[in-house]
Amino acid sequence: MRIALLTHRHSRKGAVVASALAARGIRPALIVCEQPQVAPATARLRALILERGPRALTDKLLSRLGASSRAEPPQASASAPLLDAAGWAEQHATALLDLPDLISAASLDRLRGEAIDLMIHAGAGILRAPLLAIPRLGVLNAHMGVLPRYRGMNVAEWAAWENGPLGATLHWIDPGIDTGRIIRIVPVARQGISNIAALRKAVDEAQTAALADLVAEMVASDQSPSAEPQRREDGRQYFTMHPQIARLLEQRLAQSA
Amino acid sequence: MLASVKTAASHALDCRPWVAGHGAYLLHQVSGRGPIDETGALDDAAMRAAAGWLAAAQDSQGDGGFSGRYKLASGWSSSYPETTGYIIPTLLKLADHWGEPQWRDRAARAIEFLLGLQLADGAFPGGEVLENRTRPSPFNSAQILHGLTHWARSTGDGRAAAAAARCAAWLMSVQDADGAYRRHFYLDVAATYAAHLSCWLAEYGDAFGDSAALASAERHLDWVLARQDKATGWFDLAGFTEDQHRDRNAYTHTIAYTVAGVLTTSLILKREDGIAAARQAAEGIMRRLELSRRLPGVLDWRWREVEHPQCLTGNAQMALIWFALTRHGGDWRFANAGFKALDLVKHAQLRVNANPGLAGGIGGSDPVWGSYIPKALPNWAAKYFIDGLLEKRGLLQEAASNP
Repeated sequence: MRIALLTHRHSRKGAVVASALAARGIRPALIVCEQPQVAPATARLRALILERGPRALTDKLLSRLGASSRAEPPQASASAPLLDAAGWAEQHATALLDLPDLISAASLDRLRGEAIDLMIHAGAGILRAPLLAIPRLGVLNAHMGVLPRYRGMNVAEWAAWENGPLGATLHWIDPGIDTGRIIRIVPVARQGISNIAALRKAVDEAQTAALADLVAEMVASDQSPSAEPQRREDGRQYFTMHPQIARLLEQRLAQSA
Repeated sequence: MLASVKTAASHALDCRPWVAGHGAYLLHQVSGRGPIDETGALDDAAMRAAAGWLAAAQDSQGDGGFSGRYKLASGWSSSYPETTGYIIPTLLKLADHWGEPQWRDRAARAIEFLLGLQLADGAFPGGEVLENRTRPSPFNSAQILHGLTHWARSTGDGRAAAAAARCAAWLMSVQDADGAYRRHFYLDVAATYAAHLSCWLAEYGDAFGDSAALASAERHLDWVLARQDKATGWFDLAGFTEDQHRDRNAYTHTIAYTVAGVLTTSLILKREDGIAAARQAAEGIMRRLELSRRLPGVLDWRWREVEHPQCLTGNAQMALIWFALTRHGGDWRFANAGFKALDLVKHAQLRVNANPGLAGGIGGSDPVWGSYIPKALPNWAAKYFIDGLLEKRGLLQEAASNP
């Protein structure tokens, strides 16, 4: 089974998923790195000046020239940097494909030529329908919340905030946001979680392990797992949690642990 | 390029950068604001500054009313009865919140100003006092009714209660049989943002046991609900102008009036269909804010951006709607959006400035030369910003004490 990870060069998640697969004897055929989308330079400059004033311009210019007015000596790292997707590919002699995006005709043609059976979303951006149609089996995703209830961003935090179920969901990606067919839900116990970082770590570890296990089963059987469709109206889309709500959640988690 | 430079120069000259504080204010529109305060650390200072600006708006007039706006081109405008009316509940909340009677004194002065303006038939005039003292306005009268109701309930002032009763009776008398308000509206065209008229009739009816007022509000609610696009939650006729009605777009200010009116009336009347309708619209607008990381000042019926500059009062008004929905249904996604909307208003506020017409005030648009109340700071933006910050504080305190 030819497997491709969809990620970007500096994604830690891409490396973590690849490592989890490797631990189960599975080597992705390809690591596809999408170029991260950034705002146009004029918009970034306008935002910078709005926040920091005209001095931001001179600072930026000087830093480009290697003589930032606020230059500080680089800090020595206390520990070795974590591996990213590009580093993992190099270390494990795995083919890496850089693409400017995952929507243009040229990118899609390039991917079609790879005859991929299964794609795994591992840190790329939002995927569109034409890409989803390319792999023979589909595109898998591990989501940090229990679907269909918790769609979108910061769902581990939102579930904890609402005293809802904690867990991760393995699902096929469809053109909606976290609305694809559900393969497996992996519950995560609340006990011992005393802060948001621990919460995210627990859910992340659970989702990565479950994803790698599922892929191992698929490789062994060469079959797609059964999956249940979800209805849009059964879930809610969540967005980035505001820091003041996150702060209250931190207090609640600390008190409840 | 040359044309845009000319336009920028023309804008700058309109704003009189040579007047005290104007230069710093204009610079703040484009530069050096610092990061957005997402910690809430500046909330109290922001609220103090906005309240200080409101006080300056009242003090700039000698009649007890609040100047409608500070215009960069010409300074304070005359007193605006409509918004003076709905600033009264804000002043009462500030007096309680800070334990400072001066805010209640200001409300008393505003009440005296309004009582002196009421027309013989119970209506209040539209517009600012320098432009009109005789032509009645149903929408503006209802915002004053809101202030009179709160003042009468808070103080037991019989004059305010009597004025409120006459105003409510007049509002019911100009309502059409189908529930809409057309008479004395601009071009006699009905608008759904009049939901923010009928909700104060509902509030009055609820406060004083006036079943006719409650029934009138419900008729209007039904009229507004019939104009909702069930696919997106958009309310048709929510804009100011016929062009906006035709193009199905509106400023967030009048969109929020509409949604807030529907929600307020529905909560009072316990109309679950109205609450659901308000929630649907509020969710669509929340999604726009979250995806765009800001709230464009004009939205269309799919909640897509029509104009980029923010309408700051719209942000604050939407925050209040989202907070009310959080209180009603416990859905903190709405509060989450409200906090972000208020952060954006806070980011646009210049708290310290040599000119009391600018210090702490909230622009109509961000940047201030956007099309909503261009190059001016309207008093209602400061009012809704204060209301929003007070409500945010209350929500957070309750969440902290009731996990």
